[in-house]
Formats: sequence, C-alpha cells, structure tokens
Amino acid sequence: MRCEKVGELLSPYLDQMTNEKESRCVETHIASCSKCRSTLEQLRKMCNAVHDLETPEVPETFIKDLNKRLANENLKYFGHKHIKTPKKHGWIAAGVASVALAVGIYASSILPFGSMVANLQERMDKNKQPSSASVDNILDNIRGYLADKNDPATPEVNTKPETVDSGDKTGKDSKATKPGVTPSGPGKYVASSQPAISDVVSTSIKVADIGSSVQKVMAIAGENGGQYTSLPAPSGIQALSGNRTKAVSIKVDPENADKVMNQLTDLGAAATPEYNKNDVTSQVNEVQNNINNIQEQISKLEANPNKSETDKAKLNELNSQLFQYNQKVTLLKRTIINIYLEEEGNQ
Amino acid sequence: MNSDEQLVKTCLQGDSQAFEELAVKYQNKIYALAYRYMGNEEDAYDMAQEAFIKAYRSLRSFKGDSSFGTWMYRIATNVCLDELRKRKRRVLTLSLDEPLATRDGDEVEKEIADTAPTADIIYEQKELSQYIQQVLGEMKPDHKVTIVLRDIMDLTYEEIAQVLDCSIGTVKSRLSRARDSLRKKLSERELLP
Repeated sequence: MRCEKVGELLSPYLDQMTNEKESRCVETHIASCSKCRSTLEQLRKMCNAVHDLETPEVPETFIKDLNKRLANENLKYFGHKHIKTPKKHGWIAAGVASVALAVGIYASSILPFGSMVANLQERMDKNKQPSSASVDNILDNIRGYLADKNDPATPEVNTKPETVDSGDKTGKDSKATKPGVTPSGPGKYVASSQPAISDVVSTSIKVADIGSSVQKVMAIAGENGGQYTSLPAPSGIQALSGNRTKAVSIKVDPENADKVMNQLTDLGAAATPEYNKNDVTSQVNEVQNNINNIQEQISKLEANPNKSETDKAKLNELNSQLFQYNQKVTLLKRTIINIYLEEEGNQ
Repeated sequence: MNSDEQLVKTCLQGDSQAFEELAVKYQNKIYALAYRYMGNEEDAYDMAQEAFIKAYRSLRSFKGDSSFGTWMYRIATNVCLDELRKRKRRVLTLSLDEPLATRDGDEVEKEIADTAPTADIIYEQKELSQYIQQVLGEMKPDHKVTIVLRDIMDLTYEEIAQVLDCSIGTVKSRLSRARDSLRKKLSERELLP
C-alpha cells in the first residue's frame, strides 16, 4: 500500500479504529517505511501532548452564578399540564391583569360602566370567582354586553386568535369564533365520533424591544411552517408598569409546538405557560362534511368508464378541493401559541 | 435508566435542584471544553454558563438517544462555535505581553519562535504546549472541534459523531486531517522530532 493511503489510516489506527485488514496494511507498511513509521510516532507524541494540555479548574462561583442567571431569567420549566376540564381561552402572565385593567378603563369610556360592572358582578357571583376577576371574565362580559347591545359603533374587543385563513373569503372565517359554536353555513353537519381538540398554549415574555421581538416571532413561525397572527387589541394599551405590550399568535403543527416554545424562550424571560384545549370539533365536522360530499362526487365520476373531457376537468377540480379541505383539517388541529410581549421599561 | 436520565426526569417534573446536580457533575468538563474552544478563561466561563442555560431551556428535547454528557457537549460545542462565528476572528492569539503560567506555577514571558528556531531552545514541553494551544486556536473550527473532543475530552468516535451530528466515517476523516494539519505545523517548528 502506498504512503498516501497509509497516511490516511494512521490517525484511526492510533485510536484502534481501523478494521483488521486496514490494521494489517498499516503494520506491514510501517515495518518497511521509516517515513510513515516516523509520522505515526509524531502523531502519537502530538496526541499525548494535546491530551496533557493544562486546563484551568472551573471557578468556584460557577454554580452560584448559574443559579443566579436562571433565577434572573425567571425561567420555569415548560412542563405538561393536564387540564381535566376544558377551559375557555385565557391569557396568563403578570401583564394580563394590566390588560384587563386597561381594557376596562377603555371600555368604560364608551360604555355605561355601571351596567358592565353589574353584569360582571352577576357573573362573578354565579361562577363564585374570587374578587379579582380574570381577564377572561372581563373580556367575556364586554363581548356579551356588546353582543346584547348590537351596537355597530362599539369597537370589537377581540383577543382571540383569528380562525385559520385558508383563503376562504366567505366571511365566516374572518372573525374569531367561540369554540363549540357552530358557524352558520350551508350543508348538514355530521357529528364526529371523536372530538377534535387542538392545544392552546399561552405565555408572556418580557423583551427588550417589541419591534425586533415581533420580527423574531414571525421568523420562528416561518422556520417551523407555522402561521403568525398579530392579535388586535385596543390601541394605547399599556401594562400597569407603563411598558409597551403586544399580543401575537403562532399556529403550528402539534409536533413542532415544543420546538417553537423553546425558540421563544430566546426572546426573553418567559412566564410559565398555561395549556388549554380548543374544541374544534364543529369546524372539523363541517370540513369533514364537505370532504364526504366531494368524495361521493369523485366516486361517482370515477365509476363512469366513459368520462367526457368535462368530467375529467371536474374530477381534477374535485381532487384539488379535496386536498384543500384535508389541509384545512390539519390547520384546524394546529396548536395555537398565544404570546403576550411586554417591553422592559427603564425602571 | 441511569442517574443522569433520572435527574433529567426529575427536573422535567419541576425539580430544579435536579438540574443543579447535573450542572455540578458536568461543570468541569463543559468549562474545559469551552476553554479549549475559546482560548481564555473569561469566554470559557460565559460560554459554559450559556451552554447550561440552553440545556435547561431545551431539557425536554433530551430524548436519551445519547448520554446526557454527550448531549451537553453538543450544546456547548454549538454555543462556542456560534460565538466564534459571530466574532469572525481567530481566537487564541496570545498576547505577547501576557505571561503564561507553567506547570510549576512560575510565569514566563511568552515568545513566539522566530523564523529559524532551533530545537534545543524551543523543545521543552511547556513550549510545545504553548505552541499547540496557539495552533489549535488558529485552526479551522471543525478541525479544532474534532481534536478537542477526541484528544482532550477523550470522547469515542461514536460520541463525537453524536456531538457533531455526523457519521463515524466523517469523524475519522476530519480527525485525520485535523491531526495531520497540527502535526505538520509542529513538525515545521521541529517540535516533533
């Protein structure tokens, strides 16, 4: 074997990583080649010298500093939470209460405050909530009040993520839908034997700059094949601390959710996320109903051995629609990650 | 389930003390790894801290396909390489004014050999170590990484493949080229007779 070939084997030979044949080749060659024998010896000496390089001991403060950094970043472990009963959408985090206060103040400027408080009190008494009402209750009450009044002039207080934008411009997908409520539309609904549930994760993150953080969230969504949505909120909302805030949402396939959550922690200190369930059974059933109709039409057309050109074109169109509806089901079951960004102020 | 995996599982259940145990166990190795990559103690400290924080954040992604130690090496390697790429400069260009501590604890002024060194002047273990450190710092990142992981951290080829997410064949060829490159440089200086 030539020196060039043996030269490539000397390093693995030194580590006993050559197979039997290769080892024999090396040993046979170096027995008669002083140059390669010398090279092997140099390698051995060099590896020993590298191995013996001194490394300073880790300073005693390492663990203490690490703990401090972890504590300062307010990191909690992202663990699974098993919710026994499905909850409505909710915002969790320190800044959420400030949103509730700001929304209340904003809404009270245009709504009869007394009615709203009375409604809220009634709900709180009914649900036996603690005196500090959750954001959910406040926002639900505002929505309920607005729906009752049916006043087109009042702004829509909507922090729920928009439904999937599949390009359907019929209008029913352009507003947030309450889970479990069947949107109106054509077709009969066939109840699914299994409920369709998508996960909803909510968290808040303290960031240095909201603008760049939003860009990063969009990038994270893109990297993971997800859909980014900016959640509308009444303008001028600020946290009680006076810092700027922004609510956004990412929808991703469930298998990418953990990766997205981990990437989001790079934005800043994140609060412990809360996990909820979103019942999308009715939406999935509606789409499934359309799928069933299309499949029926496809079967009929395919059963015809003498298809006309029109039939073939129709078949292509139906297959295309079928693909889109199947995609829609996938999108409906996506995990929704709601993120409340709060810009750290100069305090 | 080994003790590291048990600690990971405990930490996943919310016990941060378990993570501290892991950090205590691996702090020396991760610090040593970072030191070899970065070339100075300050950067090694920061990068090692960063590696543990990244590990804590992504603990759920640890599936046990490799040992926890190998997984930590991978994180630390990526953290250091990312930092090196960010800086876009060669590290470990030793300052000539900064004294170098020897094994005996004495300090000697560093000297960079002139163009025609003689073996009897520079052929001492401490100069060899010094020059190895310098050349390591100037090496291409993927060469440096393989030499550090194999010859300093004593990882097996399989473990290195897991750290670098490549095949064992790639580890073999990369390590072979890296060692040959280092050997030639040392040989030019007559540090390896």
